Amino acid sequence: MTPSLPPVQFLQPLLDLLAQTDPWTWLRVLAAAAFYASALVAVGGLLFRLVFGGDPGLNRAAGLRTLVSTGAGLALLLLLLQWPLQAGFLGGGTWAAAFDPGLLALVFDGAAGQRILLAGSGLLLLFGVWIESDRWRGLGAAASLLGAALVLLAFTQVGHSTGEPRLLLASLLLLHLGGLAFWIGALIPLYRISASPPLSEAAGRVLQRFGRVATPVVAILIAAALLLAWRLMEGWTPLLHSAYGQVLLLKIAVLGLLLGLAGLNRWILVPAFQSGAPRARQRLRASILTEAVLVALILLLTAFLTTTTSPTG
Amino acid sequence: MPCLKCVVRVALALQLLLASPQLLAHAQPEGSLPAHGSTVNDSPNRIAVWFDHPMRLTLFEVSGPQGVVPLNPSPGRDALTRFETSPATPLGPGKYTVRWRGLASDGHVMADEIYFIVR
Repeated sequence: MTPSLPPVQFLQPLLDLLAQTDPWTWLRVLAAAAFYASALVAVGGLLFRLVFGGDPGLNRAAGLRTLVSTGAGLALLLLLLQWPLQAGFLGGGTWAAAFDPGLLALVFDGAAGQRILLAGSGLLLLFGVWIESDRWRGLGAAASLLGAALVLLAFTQVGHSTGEPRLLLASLLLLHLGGLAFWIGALIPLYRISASPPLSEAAGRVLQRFGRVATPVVAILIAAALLLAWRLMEGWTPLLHSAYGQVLLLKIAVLGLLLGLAGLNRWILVPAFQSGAPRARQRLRASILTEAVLVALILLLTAFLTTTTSPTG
Repeated sequence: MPCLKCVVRVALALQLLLASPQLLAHAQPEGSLPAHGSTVNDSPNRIAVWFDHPMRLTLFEVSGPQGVVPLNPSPGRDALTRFETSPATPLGPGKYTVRWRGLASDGHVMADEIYFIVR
């Protein structure tokens, strides 16, 4: 940043972008953010079951069955809602355009259609398996994993990561999303299992293991995101001088806060919870809840980023 | 988890199958006629926008002091790198805004507004 540049002038690209964002686009941003959240919670709930789900009592307390099936069902509805919202925007931001068969067909006949088919199939698999049972064996487990893989793959079908080198960009995005799903999907189960005093000992062990496993996972998801951003923006200069870069900087700032909370949980609040310190349970749960709010903010910024702008301007 | 390897293999195979052989490009506008922010002395015969990759235009609207300007032709939603049209009647003096929306081949919806002044 040029030190003499006034803050308002420095933020001009971002302010211009905000001024150009019409109500229809905000609707698309909200729908995209809600879709990201519900789809990643569904996939992350499955990953939580895979990594930490040995204890049936804890699984019940974590409410994994409800979490995955509700997340998948909601994501499916939001995925379908995004289709007419996109058609409506293309036709000038009207409900008549949103249900124009020609515009709906145009959106479906391309990358967005592939995304709807892939994500829809994956979410249906997750919903179908988890609404019926959360038993982790045989065909149900395989179908769940396949469903989660399809949902994550769907994210690579649309947008900036479809450029060249496609395999590298898509792999980085998959790594980023897998790590993010693991983190996001664990928040609600961890919040729930830390509520019950009879489960404190088992919950403490899961919280401690989560801290250990999450450290390398989060490091990988951040490294993948930085590499992806560098490739897409073709350097770091647009980070300061473009609207895309400035929204990305906001996202990184919120991520910094989130990492601070995660560190606080791992090194202070979880050990205090395990030792039964006074008010440790309430403090830990408040911290996890704050993490969830920051994650929601990050997803909102991501949806704004991917809906309204592009890395190259 | 005995099925994990199978699932990973299936997912990788799907990824390879679904990877489109063509470059899915995030098209960007490259220019317009009249140029954005320019002032022209007479009513322009042609109004055009062009892109670095094919774009399916779904909306192309010119509005000025008298409201929306009738154009000939309107965009046909085919993938194109340049769209050119003409005002059905000469444009009077004033500021004109060109608003377009379109779908890039990578699935991104794109939009922009440019303006020019007729003296």
